[in-house]
Amino acid sequence: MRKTFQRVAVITTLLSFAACDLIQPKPQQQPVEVKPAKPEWSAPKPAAAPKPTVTLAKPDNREDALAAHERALRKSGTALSAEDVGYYMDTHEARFIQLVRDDRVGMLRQGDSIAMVISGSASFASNSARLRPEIHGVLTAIAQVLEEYRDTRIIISGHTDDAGEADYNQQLSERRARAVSRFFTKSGIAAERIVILGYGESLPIVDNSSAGGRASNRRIEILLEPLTL
Amino acid sequence: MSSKLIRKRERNFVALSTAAFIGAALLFGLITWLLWSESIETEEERVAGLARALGQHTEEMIVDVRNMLEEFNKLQLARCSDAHLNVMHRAAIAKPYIRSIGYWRAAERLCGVGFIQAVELKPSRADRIYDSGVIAWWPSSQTEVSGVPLFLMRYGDHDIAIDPRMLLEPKLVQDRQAGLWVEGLPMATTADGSDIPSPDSVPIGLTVDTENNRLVSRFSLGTIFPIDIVAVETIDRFWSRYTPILAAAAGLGLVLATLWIYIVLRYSRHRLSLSTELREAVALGRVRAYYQPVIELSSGRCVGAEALARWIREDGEMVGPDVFIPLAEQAGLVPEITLAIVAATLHDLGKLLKEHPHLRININLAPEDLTSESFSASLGRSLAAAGVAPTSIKLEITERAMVDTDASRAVIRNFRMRGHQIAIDDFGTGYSSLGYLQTLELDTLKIDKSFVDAIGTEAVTNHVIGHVIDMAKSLQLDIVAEGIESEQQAEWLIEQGVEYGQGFLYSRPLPCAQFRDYFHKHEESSGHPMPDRANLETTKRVH
Repeated sequence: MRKTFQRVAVITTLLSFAACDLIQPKPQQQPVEVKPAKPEWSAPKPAAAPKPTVTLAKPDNREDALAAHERALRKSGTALSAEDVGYYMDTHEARFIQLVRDDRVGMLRQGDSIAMVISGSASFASNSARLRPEIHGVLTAIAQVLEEYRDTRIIISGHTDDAGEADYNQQLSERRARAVSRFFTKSGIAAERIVILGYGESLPIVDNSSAGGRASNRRIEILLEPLTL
Repeated sequence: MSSKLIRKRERNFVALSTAAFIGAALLFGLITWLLWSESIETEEERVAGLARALGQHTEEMIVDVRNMLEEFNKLQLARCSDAHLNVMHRAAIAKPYIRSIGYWRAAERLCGVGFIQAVELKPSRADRIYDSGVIAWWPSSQTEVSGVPLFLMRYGDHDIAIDPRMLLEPKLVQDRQAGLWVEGLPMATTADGSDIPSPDSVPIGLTVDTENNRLVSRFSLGTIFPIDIVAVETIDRFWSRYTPILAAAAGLGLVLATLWIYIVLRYSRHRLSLSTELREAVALGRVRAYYQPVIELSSGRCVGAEALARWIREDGEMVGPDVFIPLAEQAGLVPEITLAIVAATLHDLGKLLKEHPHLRININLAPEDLTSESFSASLGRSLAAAGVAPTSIKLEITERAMVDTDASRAVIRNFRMRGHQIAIDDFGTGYSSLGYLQTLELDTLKIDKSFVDAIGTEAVTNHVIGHVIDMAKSLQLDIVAEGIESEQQAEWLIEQGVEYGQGFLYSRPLPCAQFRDYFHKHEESSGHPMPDRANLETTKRVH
């Protein structure tokens, strides 16, 4: 569970939801081809990265925050039995594929978790933490599935490119993550399922030297973890 | 000479027979091989047809189920209402392979229909999640309900469980064991199909698995889903299916082989037969005329010759009439040979005959020549073309051939009217009814060699010859003695008043050029020391 962040951070690229029919079946096990623009993307995190802020419950350590969140959820009693997790997440994933087909949203299955990457440029204007109206439809569809599959917690993290001040970027990423979170809660998702994290420019997925690379790094990541007993 | 011929024929016959048998064996082998490969091919086609049918069936089923799920998701009915359940129920009944249809919310089955309604199938790991959002779980222990692993598909909030055994219809599979793989995953096998090899381990097409005594066939289809079908059948079953065909075909092969041997042997006999060779020889002009001079005994003067057929074989071997005339008779070649001799004579001696009108060349006629309608005309044409008078050609007819019929009598009369003289040949060897000689119009009587041989011995024939000579004289026939080999015989014959003779004493049969030389030498006076009259008288007295 604690490795989740690294995993999310490593999500590479937007998986496009080609509107493929069953007529062209694609084996699920087929490995996702990872094509980094530059090899630096997989380099270890710099040690001197700015401290990201966990906005929920405001602890100064995000792992502690997540652990606390998990404890809270457990107390609430919502959980899946261990043998149901696989079925639950499989059908969950399939439901996303069925209902959320959009070039601006990528999805990756990681074990029992589902990771989604939403393009930052598509969601927000430059330097803004206000969701563009164009992205509302996609987020609504995601919220619909999240409402259907309730036995997960939702970790929303914001990321920026390296343009501008790091502190500013840190704040911007937090505000953007919160904006998505607010959209979901307004759509009826229980607020206690959601954790918001801001990473600023600390976890680029590709090199920031190109415009395309910077665009890829501006993103919102949503990680769905099943809540097991 | 003839034994050499026979040896050669036997050798050829053995060689050809061997060839015939080898040919038959090859033919038989070829037919067997053809049938075997044909059987394999037919079987491959059968199994390929089965595979196609199964594949199509499977594909239709999957597409069908997918479409059904899509329809269910679009239903505007209140979920789990009677109407909703009714729709699902009808769908389940319509398709025999559907075991259940469920309506789900996330991982909770809210309602459903079918035989396994109470069972919530929640396999832990999906085998396929397609880009459309369709999830599929292949049959496994996790999808097993009452001993039957089911194929499960879910799309949206509905799922359908399928009994994959229904895909392998017994009617299609017939008596084989078969397995069905979709996208490389095992979908279904027939009841006893636990030992069906997986498609990865089997080459495409038909394989004879001698180790397990079975035929394994694999076919792959890739229309919508990659589908593999592996069918297994014991070799015994394969044999029992094809044995009648193979047996029938083997029988046919045997008949064909026998026919082949028969044809080859017949052909070889025909090819190897002397009669065929003789026919060719006649056509190619290898039957030539040799001429044995006929001598006036008292003077030694050559008055003519008997044309004798000689067959020069390809290797230069000369075959006499004693061998080939019976053959020619069998083969019906006699008229051709006679005409060939006529032609040869006219070619060889035409000029000589024109210069010496009194020279007579004897041509032997066979019974067939007398009965042939065309022979007489052909003879006439040949003579006319060569400008030789018919009087130059004397026709010899054997006593045996001279059947006492009106027809032969008419033919002989006809020949005589045209100017030919007629000689009766081999006189005394036939049935010797001397009386009938009177009824025929003849010019010459030839005394057979057997009588001449007897001259000076105590044989019965020795007495007969006298009577023959007397009779010929009384009928006013010229007499020619054949086969004179000694002076003694000649003297005796002269003494008896025989005028003409032929034999080795004077000359053996000669090729035309030599005969011409001989004739010129003996044209007028004898080159041979002939006994004079006085001597003859003396001899007579001595006797």
